[in-house]
Amino acid sequence: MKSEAIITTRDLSYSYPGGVAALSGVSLEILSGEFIAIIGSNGSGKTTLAKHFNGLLKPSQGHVIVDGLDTRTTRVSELSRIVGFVFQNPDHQIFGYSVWEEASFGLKLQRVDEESIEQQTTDALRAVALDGLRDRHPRALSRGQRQRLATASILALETPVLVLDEPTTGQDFISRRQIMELTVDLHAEGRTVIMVTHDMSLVAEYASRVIVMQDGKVLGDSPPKEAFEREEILMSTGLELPPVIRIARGLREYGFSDTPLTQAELVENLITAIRR
Amino acid sequence: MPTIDIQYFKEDSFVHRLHPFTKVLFEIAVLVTAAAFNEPLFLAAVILAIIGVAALARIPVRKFRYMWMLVYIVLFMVITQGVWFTSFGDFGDIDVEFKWRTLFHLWPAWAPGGPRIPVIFEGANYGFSLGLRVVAISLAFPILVLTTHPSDLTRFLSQIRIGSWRIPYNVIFVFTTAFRYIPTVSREFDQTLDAQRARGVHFGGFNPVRQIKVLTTLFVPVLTSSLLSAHDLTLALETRAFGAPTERTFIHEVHWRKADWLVTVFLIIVAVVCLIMANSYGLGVLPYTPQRNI
Repeated sequence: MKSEAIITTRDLSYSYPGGVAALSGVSLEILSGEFIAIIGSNGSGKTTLAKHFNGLLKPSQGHVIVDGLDTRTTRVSELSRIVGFVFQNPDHQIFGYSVWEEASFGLKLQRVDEESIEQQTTDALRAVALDGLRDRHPRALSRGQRQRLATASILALETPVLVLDEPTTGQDFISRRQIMELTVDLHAEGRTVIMVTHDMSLVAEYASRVIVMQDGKVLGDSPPKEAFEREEILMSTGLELPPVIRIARGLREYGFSDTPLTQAELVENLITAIRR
Repeated sequence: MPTIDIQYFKEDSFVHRLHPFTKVLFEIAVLVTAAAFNEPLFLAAVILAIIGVAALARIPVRKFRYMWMLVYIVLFMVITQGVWFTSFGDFGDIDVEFKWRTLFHLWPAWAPGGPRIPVIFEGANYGFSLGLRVVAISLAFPILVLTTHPSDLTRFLSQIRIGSWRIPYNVIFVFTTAFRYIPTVSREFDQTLDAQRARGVHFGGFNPVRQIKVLTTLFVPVLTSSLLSAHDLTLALETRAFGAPTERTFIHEVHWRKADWLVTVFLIIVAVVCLIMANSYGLGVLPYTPQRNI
């Protein structure tokens, strides 16, 4: 089955008001059902690129086409039905007096019927394990819970594309796992997931495609294995390789030439190598 | 880049080197001259002079970008004054021959019924000059904060003494911190705007009830996080012994130079001349200025 491009950028350039060039000549095709990780150092243009996917930023030059709609001429509120965007800081969006109100707000704006609001919001809250707290005041939640609530408010919209801006930054190990499991589930359901992140272990483990950004340009665009094999690219962006890959690198001089992406893969490959 | 960016920026310009007090005098001089005149041409001259000072300070134009909002204030003044101006009643010594000139009617002639609501040229002109006053003051005000290092401003304020009284440091701190937080809150506002738009909130449109509802989604997160960061700030202050009963010293010392004397004298002369021009000779004052009895 050949997937169709759901987001296309053509020669996309963007400068912030005041003339700071943040993106230059980015041409990408994001296919429906991909799990994409956008990586790069701070200020490399990752978030700026992501904000073009739902029209929050409009290209200075070039075009961004989302599901056939040019973002220049389409309202963000219209694009928000296609691309859900989860921000890094939940406190920039939470205003409701209950978890339920916050999570269902986007659906109410879309004038969905009561029954679907009930259904979709319940599903979203269950997905982030907040379904027991629906009447709680959002301020009474922990930071991790608020992050999940913000995620749920976007999940409830059931958009075919999800953009997550550094979803695991500042989260402890367990919340990180939960977020990633959730993302993997959503991807398995057939949604397109685009994740902006610094977390290289997660990239190695989950992404199907890695886009490396630097100085507003796409430096690399490949499956994770190839991305991590081209060490010089990652080095130049100042990103650290995931521990599994660093171990494999250390074993090179002993004739181990693989680039494993997960711990299980490393163990398996090591054992076969030893047995051979 | 926050929408409202009036944070100090480093530059070695004549204006930057002036003593904070001189710059405060400049603000006062702008207030005085803007209040003295109400003839649009004279106010335009005042605005030009302010732009000249901003250029002298090498302030990038983008720092004034948010000023486009003033267009609405000017328009509002022009229309409201245009419609209601004549109801001021007392305009002092106006020539008996004087007649109001009607520009146009808000209610078009072809539409049925209704009073036609004339917009009076004199009123619109007066409203325009009121709008220009707001523009002048709004343009001049950021120059002080943009060109003065916050700690110099604090230093200057703490030097003010009247007898043995001086401004309590807490008050000075609140004042200077408020300036420091304007860009932060503005940035927060922009981020909230993005977050809400991303989940389908549409800002704009014509339904006022809906707009108010939509605005709560902006103001609640911004206010909450401002309060929370204020709380964090108090903690940070206390860990640094804020309020310890010692004499404060400053790394930066601000000096009163010869240039400050010259500028001060110049500003006072300009302000006094403008006042005399307007009050004694009626220059730069519209002949139909409404008389207010206080």
